Amino acid sequence: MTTTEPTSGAVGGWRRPTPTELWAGATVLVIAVLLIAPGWIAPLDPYRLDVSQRFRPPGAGHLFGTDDAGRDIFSRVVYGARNSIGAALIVVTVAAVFGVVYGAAAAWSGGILDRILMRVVDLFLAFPYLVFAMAVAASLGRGLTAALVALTVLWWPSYARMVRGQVISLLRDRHVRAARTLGASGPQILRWHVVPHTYDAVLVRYTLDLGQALVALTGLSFLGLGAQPPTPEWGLMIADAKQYALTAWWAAVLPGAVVFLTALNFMSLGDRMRRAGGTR
Amino acid sequence: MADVTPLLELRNLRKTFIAGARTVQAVRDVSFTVGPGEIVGLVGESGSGKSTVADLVLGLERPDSGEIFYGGRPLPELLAGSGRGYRAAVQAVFQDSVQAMDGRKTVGWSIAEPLVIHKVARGAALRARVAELLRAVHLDPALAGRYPHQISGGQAQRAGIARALALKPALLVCDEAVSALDVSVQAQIVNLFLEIQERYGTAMLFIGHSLPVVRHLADRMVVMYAGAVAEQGPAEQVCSAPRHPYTRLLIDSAPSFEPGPSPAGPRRTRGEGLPAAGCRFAPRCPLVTDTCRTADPAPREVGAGHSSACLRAGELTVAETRPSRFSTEKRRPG
Amino acid sequence: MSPILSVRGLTVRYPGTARPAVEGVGFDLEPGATVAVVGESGSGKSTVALAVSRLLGPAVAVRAETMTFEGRDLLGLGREELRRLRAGRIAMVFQSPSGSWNPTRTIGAQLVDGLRAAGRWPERRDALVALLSRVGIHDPESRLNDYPHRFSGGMLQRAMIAGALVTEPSLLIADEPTSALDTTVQAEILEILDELRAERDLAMILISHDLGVVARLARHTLVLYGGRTVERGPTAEIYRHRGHPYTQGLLAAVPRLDGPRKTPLPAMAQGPVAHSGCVFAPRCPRAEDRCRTSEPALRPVGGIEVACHLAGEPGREPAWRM
Repeated sequence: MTTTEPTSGAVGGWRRPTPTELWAGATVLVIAVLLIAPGWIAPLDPYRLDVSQRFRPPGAGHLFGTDDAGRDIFSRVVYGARNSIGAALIVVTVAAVFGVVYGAAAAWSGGILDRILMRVVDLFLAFPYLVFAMAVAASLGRGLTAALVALTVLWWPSYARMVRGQVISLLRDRHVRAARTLGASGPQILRWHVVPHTYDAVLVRYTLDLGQALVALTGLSFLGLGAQPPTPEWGLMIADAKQYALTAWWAAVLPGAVVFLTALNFMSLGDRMRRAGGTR
Repeated sequence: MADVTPLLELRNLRKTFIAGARTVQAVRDVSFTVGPGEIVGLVGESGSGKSTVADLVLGLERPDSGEIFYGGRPLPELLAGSGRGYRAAVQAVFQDSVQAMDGRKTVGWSIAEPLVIHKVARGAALRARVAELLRAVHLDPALAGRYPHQISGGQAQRAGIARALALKPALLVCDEAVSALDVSVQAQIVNLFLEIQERYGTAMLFIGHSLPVVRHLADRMVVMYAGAVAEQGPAEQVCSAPRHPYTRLLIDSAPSFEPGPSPAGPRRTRGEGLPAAGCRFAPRCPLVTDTCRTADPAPREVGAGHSSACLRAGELTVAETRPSRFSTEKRRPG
Repeated sequence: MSPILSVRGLTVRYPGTARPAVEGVGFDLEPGATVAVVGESGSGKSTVALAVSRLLGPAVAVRAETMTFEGRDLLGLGREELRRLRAGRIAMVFQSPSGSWNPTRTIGAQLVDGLRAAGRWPERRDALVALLSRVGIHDPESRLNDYPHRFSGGMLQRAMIAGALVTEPSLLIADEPTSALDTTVQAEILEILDELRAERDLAMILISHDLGVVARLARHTLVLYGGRTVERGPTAEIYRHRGHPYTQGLLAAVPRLDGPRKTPLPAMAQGPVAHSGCVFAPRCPRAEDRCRTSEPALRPVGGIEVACHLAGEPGREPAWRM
């Protein structure tokens, strides 16, 4: 069934963005550059080996120093964003989209189907993620893909549960009752009047989860269940650096600090969005 | 009226809700009709079941028993499939139109929505029709671009009416559509409903708790108490010669412009439980007899198109009801 | 008798607004008397109630030439004095029955809180039960253990009134106390309020948007529009004279049981509150040039006071026919 949306006579007018919006905008911009054009920021090739430059401490030539193969750590961190933040984005995005659809469908169907669908959610939520990640790695082979799959499969249920609760309460809302009297179909009601109302909360959770997914992904890579050498990936870089952590502390500490600060940025941004009642 | 097929007919409707351990008989054996182009007022206090009747007519709830006919056809048949034919013919105006519109969509979007759902118009024709509808309810078409919370209560109510009129319905179900408005806005919306009846011949089931407002609009009036019809008949007759003590209480409780105590006097509704047997109004009724506490009165004809569900309806005459309003001694107000 | 509450030149301005929400409002209230403050939404009537009970926050500028309650200057009181005053001598009842109660605690617990705050617990326990019964709550002892959701709107409002009056206040401020209720319950509760007022020599400020509701209860009425008093005087005289076009419009707009049916109601047009001249001029069908330039002061016109240039001029028809 084709459902063209009624045209909204959009109200124009620009207003000054709130600090939260500026912060979110800056975050999006930095990530976009890191993912699309890391070469603009990274001074060197992240794969280039140069034994003469081994274990250089942070300084003018090498902002974050170099590792045991003489690779520029700063460049590796910049290129590693694709594998770390990029992977977290994929995990949370896929989980959120699937979870929203699943939760909305469960809430809409109601009754026995809803109960079955939510039992499945409970099952996934109860699964220990490390065990699951090892099982996936065992069957798919170690690599970033296995880590991505494992995390995504375990991540969507929290969205499904949250959205289901919201949809159930929205379906009782007066504007939904009114839409029913107009003859709107189930899919129309969900698409126009219910799901968009969950976006604010989903966006907050999405932002918070980016930080958590980043930590989880780098953790898996650190344990050898994620990205494999020589891929520049933050968790893997820390794992590699731990062998010579006493001689070249920077090789472990600086990528670790980047993971920490990135995760902190997402989480405090998400927290601020929640307190602001979501960004409009 | 008898020789015309009613537009809407409610026959012995019953609806019971289960709330935890309690069951609430929201609607108990309600029957009445709405003729083409006729405004039928449905009055009663909260909990009288009048809003449940609206939900049943709008197909938002299904009756436990009894039937609803629209144009002679039963409601389940009309709502089968997409039910769009019935949905287009019977539209609703709610008490709070701001809440009835989606807060994330513009007013114009909301008014266009029924036209899109029913594939009546799109593109430029859709925009033109929205502007036309806004003008029909005396609103500036520029309001289409605003959000519901950006307009006044009166404007929202007009927009809600424009949305309900979009599909040119034969029947409007107006559930407390003017109750939450300031008096000057309320008067404007009442006038708009009268204009709609006159201009488009739209029939209305107008639900309200204010007897004077409903009397002003309605051709006929149905008074509900505790889920059942207490009295129904021509609006003027019900108000000037009520044949049920509850209607009389409603009349005496209406805001008066006579300084001094209310003729109704304090009528303590001690305890809120309804009696399990007999007339549900018996505990509040000044005319109650022993029979009233045991026998559940059925509606009886008391005049042309006028019926009352009171055992003593025959004794309630014009002479007895009217003076009560004025016979009370005047006390100086504080 | 000397007034218990005396207000002169009350002006209230909310932060960030161009004009005061209330300007130059004044009235006297004697023990046992009721004054009604009437107007539509935005008229400033609730602001008057909040200003008198000093419930407006520190950001709101409240000024008055005089605002004395039982001989004390309300504007000069400290926080603790105000708290004690509101816990005992000044009681308030608000419109929303459900919004005034905490859903997680029993009705009884919340009423006891009120008495504790006033330092009258358990001294007034029996009085509370008697009062609950008096306002129409059957079997109050057992209903005190109920949570608010077990009460209907009317019952919550009755309990609210009992809670407000149990500390034996001398002033009750009732802001639309019955507007959310059915007409039969509304009539009954207003009647009970009036009885209690007469028995206890209680002074009452009754705030309402409906002139019909206050007619029976209030000896004096103030009609507010755009924060200004447009008409003031004995209620009966106001109903008789209808000096201000706004009052005329308010009264004419309400359908009456003995009025005509199915005819257009005389409905005032909507319009902005004027910034200069008469506040009502943009909506007034009789506005003349002088109404748009100079602001009319309240002046006596046949037993009432009216703020209208045209009031009392001979040969004037009411702006709206009933």
